[in-house]
Parts: sequence; structure tokens; C-alpha cells
Amino acid sequence: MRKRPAILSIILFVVFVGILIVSAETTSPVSFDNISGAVSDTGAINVIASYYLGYRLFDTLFEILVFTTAVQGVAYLLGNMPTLEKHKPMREQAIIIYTDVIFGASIIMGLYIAAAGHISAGGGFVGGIVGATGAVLVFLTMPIEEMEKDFPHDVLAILEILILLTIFALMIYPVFMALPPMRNFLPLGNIGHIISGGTIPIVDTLIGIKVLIGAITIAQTFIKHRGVF
Amino acid sequence: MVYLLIGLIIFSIGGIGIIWKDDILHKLLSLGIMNAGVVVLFVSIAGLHHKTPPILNTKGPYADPIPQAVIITSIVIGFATMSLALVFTMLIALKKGTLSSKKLEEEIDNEH
Amino acid sequence: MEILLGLMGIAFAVGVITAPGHMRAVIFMGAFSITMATYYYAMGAPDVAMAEATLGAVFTTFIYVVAMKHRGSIKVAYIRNKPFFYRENGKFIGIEYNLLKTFADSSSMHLEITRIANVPSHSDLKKDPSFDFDIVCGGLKIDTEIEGYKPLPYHLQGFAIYVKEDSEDLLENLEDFLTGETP
Repeated sequence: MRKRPAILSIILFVVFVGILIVSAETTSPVSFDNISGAVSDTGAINVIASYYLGYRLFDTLFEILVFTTAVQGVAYLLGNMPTLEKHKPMREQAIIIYTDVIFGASIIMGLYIAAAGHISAGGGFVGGIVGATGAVLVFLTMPIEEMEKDFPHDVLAILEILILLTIFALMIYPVFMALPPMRNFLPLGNIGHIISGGTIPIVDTLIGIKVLIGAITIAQTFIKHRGVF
Repeated sequence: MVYLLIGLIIFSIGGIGIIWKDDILHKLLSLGIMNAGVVVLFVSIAGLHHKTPPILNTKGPYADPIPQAVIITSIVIGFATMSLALVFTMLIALKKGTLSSKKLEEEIDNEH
Repeated sequence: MEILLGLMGIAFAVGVITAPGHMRAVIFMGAFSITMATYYYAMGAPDVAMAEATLGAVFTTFIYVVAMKHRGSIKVAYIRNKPFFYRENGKFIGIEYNLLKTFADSSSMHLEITRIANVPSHSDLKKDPSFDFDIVCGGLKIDTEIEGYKPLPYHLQGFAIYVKEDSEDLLENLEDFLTGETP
């Protein structure tokens, strides 16, 4: 590239971000000594979960939609390319047994992280990606026909759309109870228990399963049409 | 403070990487670095005065939870955008045979 | 403590943009991601730290490694010649080998190397149609005549590398690489 406009644009970058930083420095500090107001309102100990699943659920809805669009885009664009002819998976007995056990353990751990998002750190998105990491390991040891038989693409796509419709239904249902939509309509249990907080753990688990299926689809499409070896 | 300066430097390094590198794959990696720089800015604003995670098990004054809740969205969206951009890069490499942006610009100029 | 992690992150970020070749840049990116995840945890944001660690260090590295799988192979035939291209204890050594290997690494291609006895003559090429190499090298003098191959314009004191005549793409890329145009 030509060098002089490039240097000028870099200097403009730095000046612009520097102005942002100086304006952030002069804001007054917000000290959160007492956050029990948010906890007693939504029933979730993790205040971050009560924000992005309670007060700002609309934002999370569009994040799910962006993720779904990316998964569908990858599956459609790479699905037109031919599948690999020479795919050499690692077919040794020790590796097959090891990766199967790791896959089961990682899915259980991922669903736990997603379901307990309102008690400790984590949340729906992280739980889904943790489960997909084990699936990637399993894909490295399977030939293509077995991969197509065990993780069928059309069944996974239908399941993903069903979960998205369930999340929509949970958001719209409070309208029939004369409450504004996207509201916590189930009773808040005792704070600190795993079943508490109304609809927050339900939506968290559904998001976790959806991200798990989406990431498995991305990994499967990449390996089937592009290959690793 | 120093934390905000770290975010600024990482963001600028990513910006320099996008402009100066020739290969499309390196440009995508620099985009990821810029994303991480913005996240560092938000997390530094959140943890400017107290650095305890805002979960009720711990005690004492907590960090600010609102910027953290907003910036998790950005990490997931950055990953989704980058994976789709990689698919386009693979299609370009298959059709044109080259990944250098200089040659691609020359081809586009020659078409007109 | 956080300042130290931040400085490590800056060092890895500089490593990403000054790394030659694709594989080194991706590995530096993985290291950068996990260093920044530790920094986010030290600043009191465990949710953000978990998201960055799983997404950046595991999934991003996997997707990049799949996307930059080698796009083809270059077939090289070499004549054993001591300073240029030879094999000792199972490893390849030599000036021309280093040149070709750096060129292949920087464009993620794969080298397939076979050894031939001497310069192929006209009758050899006619009766053996599987002689389909892209590059012939190994200390050939500049005025050797091989049918269907022509030497590169840049040669080392009279010894040149021969490239197949109708592979325009390879010739152009190799010339650009030798004149230092690609970073």
C-alpha cells in the first residue's frame, strides 16, 4: 500500500481512541457496594446474568440471531463445495476410546456451566462452546460416512430452529398474562438454589444447547468440505 | 490510567496490522486483535476502582457489572463474523489461486 | 500484576503482525487470546474471561488451522550436488532446498521431493511420461537444455533452478518471492 496515507490514518486512529480514553477518565466513579437490589428483583446471584437475561433480554435475542445467521451462512456456502475424497482420520483404538470419553464429559460440563449461569460465572454461550470442543476431537477420528450417520445435518438444523422458537415463545408468553413481554413470570425460588430466578436458568440452558448445536455444525462443515490433513 | 493505555496500544497494533500486511489471512487476524483491544477498554472501565467479581458470594465493594454484561455479546459476535469471513477467504483462494491483496486489486483494476 | 499481563499481551500482539508465514501468526494469536483471558480475570470479570478463553484460544485456532491447510503440492526433482541440495542423516540440506522450503512455507504449499540421477535428456522425457515435476534443481549450469523447462532469471554464479514452462502461476509467485516483494 502507499505509505503516506497509511501513516496518516494510523495517527488519526490513535488520536481518536485517545480522545475516547480521556473522556472515559473524567466520568465519576460508580461504586457498587450494595447490589442486593438487583438480586432480590430477579433472584439471580450472578448480577451479570441478571443483566443480560433479565433487564436486557432484547440484546441477547439479537446476539442469538447473529450467531444463527453465521452458522447458516457457513453451512450453506461450504455445502456447495464437494466433500473430500481423501480424508485420513486417526483410527487407532486408544485415540477412539479416549476421545469418546472426553466428548461425553465435555457435554455434561458444558450443560452444567450453561444451567448454573445464574449462580456462578459462565452463562449460556460459554457452555455451548465448551461442549463443542469435545465434538471437534471426536470428528478428527471419524471417516465421513460415520460422521454423517452419527451427526445428521438435517436433524440438527430442525432441532436448532425448534429451540429458537421455544425461546421466542418464552419471551412472548407474558403478554397473555397481562404483563409486558420478556418478563420473569415464573416464581422466584429461594436465592442461591439452582432452581431459582424464574425463567433465567431455562433460557440459559436453551441458549447453551443452541450454541452447542451451532458450533458442532460449523466444525462438521469445515471438516467435511475442507479437511484438516 | 495505565489500563486504558494498554487497550489503546493493542487497538493501534491491530489497526497497523490491517493496513500494512498484504495477506488476507493476516488482515483477519489483526481484526481479531482490534476486537480484543476494545474489550480491554470496556473491562478496564468496569474494574477501574474495585476488582472483585460481582457475584454475591464474595464480599465487599464490587466491580461494575454493566460494561461486562454488554461486552460478552461483542466477543461472540466477533467470533461469528470472523468465521464467516474465513469462509469467504477460502472461496477466494480456491477461485483466484492467490491470497495477496495487491494481486487481487490489480485483477479488479484490469477488469474495468 | 495486571500491568505485567497487559505487557505480555502487547508483546504477543506485536508477534502476530510481524510473523512470517501463516502458522506462526495463528499460534501467536492463540497465546495472545489466553493471556488476555487471564488479564480479564485479574480485572474482576470472570464471565468475559471464560468467553475469551474458550472462543479465542480453542475455536479460533481450530478454524484457522482448517482454513490454511495446504492448497497443493509442488513436485521437486533434485540431483545430488553437495552445496546445493543433498540429503544427510535423513534430512535435506542445501542452499536451494532452504530457498524452496521458505517459499513453500510462506504460501502454505507442500513440497514433494524426489531424487533423479542426472539431467533428463530428450529421449528420457519421451519414453517416461510420468516425469511431471514442477521444478528441477541441484546445481544445474545455466546453459543446460531441458525440454519443457526454462531457468529462472535469477541465478547463483551460473547455477540455476529450472521451472516448468507452462506453469505461469508458479513462475510469477517464485519471481515475486525472490525479489522480495511479498512480506
